[in-house]
Amino acid sequence: MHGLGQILLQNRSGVLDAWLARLRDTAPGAQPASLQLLKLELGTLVEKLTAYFLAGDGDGAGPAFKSVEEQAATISAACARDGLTPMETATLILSLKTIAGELLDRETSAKATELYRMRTALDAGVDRLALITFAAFVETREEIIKRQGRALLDLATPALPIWRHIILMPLVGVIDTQRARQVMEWLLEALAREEAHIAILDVTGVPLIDSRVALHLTKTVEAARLLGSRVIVTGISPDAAQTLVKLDVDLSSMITRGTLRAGLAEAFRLLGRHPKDTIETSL
Amino acid sequence: MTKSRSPDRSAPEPAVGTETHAVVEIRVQNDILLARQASRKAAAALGFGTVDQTRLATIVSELTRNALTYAGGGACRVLTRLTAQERCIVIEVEDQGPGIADVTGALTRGYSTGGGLGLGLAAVHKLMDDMTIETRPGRTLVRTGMTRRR
Amino acid sequence: MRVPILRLGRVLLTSLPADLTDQQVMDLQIDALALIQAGKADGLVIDITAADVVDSYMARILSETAKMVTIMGGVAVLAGMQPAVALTLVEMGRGMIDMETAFDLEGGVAKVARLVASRGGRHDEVPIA
Repeated sequence: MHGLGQILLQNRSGVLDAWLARLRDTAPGAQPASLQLLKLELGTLVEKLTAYFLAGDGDGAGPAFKSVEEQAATISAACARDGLTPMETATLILSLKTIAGELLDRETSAKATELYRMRTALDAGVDRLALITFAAFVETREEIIKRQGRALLDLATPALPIWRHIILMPLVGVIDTQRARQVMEWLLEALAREEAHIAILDVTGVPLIDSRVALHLTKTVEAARLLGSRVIVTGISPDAAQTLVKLDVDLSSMITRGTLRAGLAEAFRLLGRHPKDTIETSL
Repeated sequence: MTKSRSPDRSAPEPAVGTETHAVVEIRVQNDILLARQASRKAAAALGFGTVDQTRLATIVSELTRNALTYAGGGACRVLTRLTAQERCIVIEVEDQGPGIADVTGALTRGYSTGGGLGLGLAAVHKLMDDMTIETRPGRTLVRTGMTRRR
Repeated sequence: MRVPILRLGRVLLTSLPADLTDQQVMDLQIDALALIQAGKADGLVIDITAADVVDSYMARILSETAKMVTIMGGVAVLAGMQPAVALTLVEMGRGMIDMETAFDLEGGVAKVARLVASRGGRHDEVPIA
């Protein structure tokens, strides 16, 4: 594919300018500052693609193409961070086919069969880059989502010592198995650290309470019991109460109250009934 | 006597690619303890948290106790693997005993009431990520693993 | 070596070591039950602060010990469980530990006293009318 490489090399700035014009059209919402950086990256991609065609026979293999692939992945990650949609990013990469294709038609005096071979090699290369771009885009976004998820988790569930021997743990958001395990671990750590006798688990902020969540709650209550603590679950909505009863969920092991206020009252009642005795008075 | 019950987060992360291999022969009751300690140590070295370490030590206790009770003894192997993405520990307990006649039954019974062999295996199944049991008269091998993303 | 049992008023206290043997368990059960039968105590607090592992076998031993004490007319409380152990036990199954629990020894003693008082006092004495 030396011929193709030569044409790209000779018309490097033309190709880049045309591609950048496409970029402005494709992503009208992108910030100018980001576009500057993207320009550099796109320029590098053209360089590497040229080098690849100059070096080999355009079969998509070898270290030269690997270098192009890596550059495509870099561009994709940058687009993802700049808020381009997957469509916009893929369209951008694929537009290189049209631009380079038009260039070939204009500049080469090669025979039809040779032209066909060059077009095929170009298309195959850019198609592969578009796929890589897509995969890299998705991976970057997933990494961002995961990081945000972890940050949210850290914020969401502190255990608050609200009174002597009472800790409050407000739960917010969806409780899946992973989250439930984390909640249990934090609750037990807090119970041990604060030497609390009672934990109030408030689920007002949990949108979906079904039999699985109830099972997690049951396990949490039992784990707390093993540490000598009682758990009061508060904030179950009327909807959730209906659902749980209709599903015939066994909640016999836990104390429940509709509101946090009622739960707190119950906590004080329990403490009052069983004050932390000194050894002398209890014998 | 106050013993801190907060988890230890101060252990440093080991290097990638570490593979260790520990074997504990199970002949007497005290060997169960040694096997537990060996697995906890290996898990801690690999960066597993306190609760995971306890889960591991517990299943080692279950499996080695079974081997001692039903087969008169056996061997416990602790294998670890650390990659850039994850940490992995595998426990193998092998014995030359009479074998488990009805594995499915043991696991099912273990889940409901029961005791002994069934209850121990069911516990292992619930605590670990995967478990395989090969058994016939003369040889039983239970292999079970835990993997955590880094 | 037998696990020592201390007596504080009418409550027996014992701390289980991490390397508890089957023989030690059986001796412990017999010793505790004998003291309760002799009218020397109303309850037993078993402290497992040192236990970094409680497997299904140990869970059964503890529950059975509690049941034995109850049959003899006493009250048993398990104290000092480590959080990681509690988390593991609930994952293993429901009702693994079938007995009363307390955060620590002090809480355990208080609980024994409370449970004894709520049922009317010593198991081997007639209540004052």
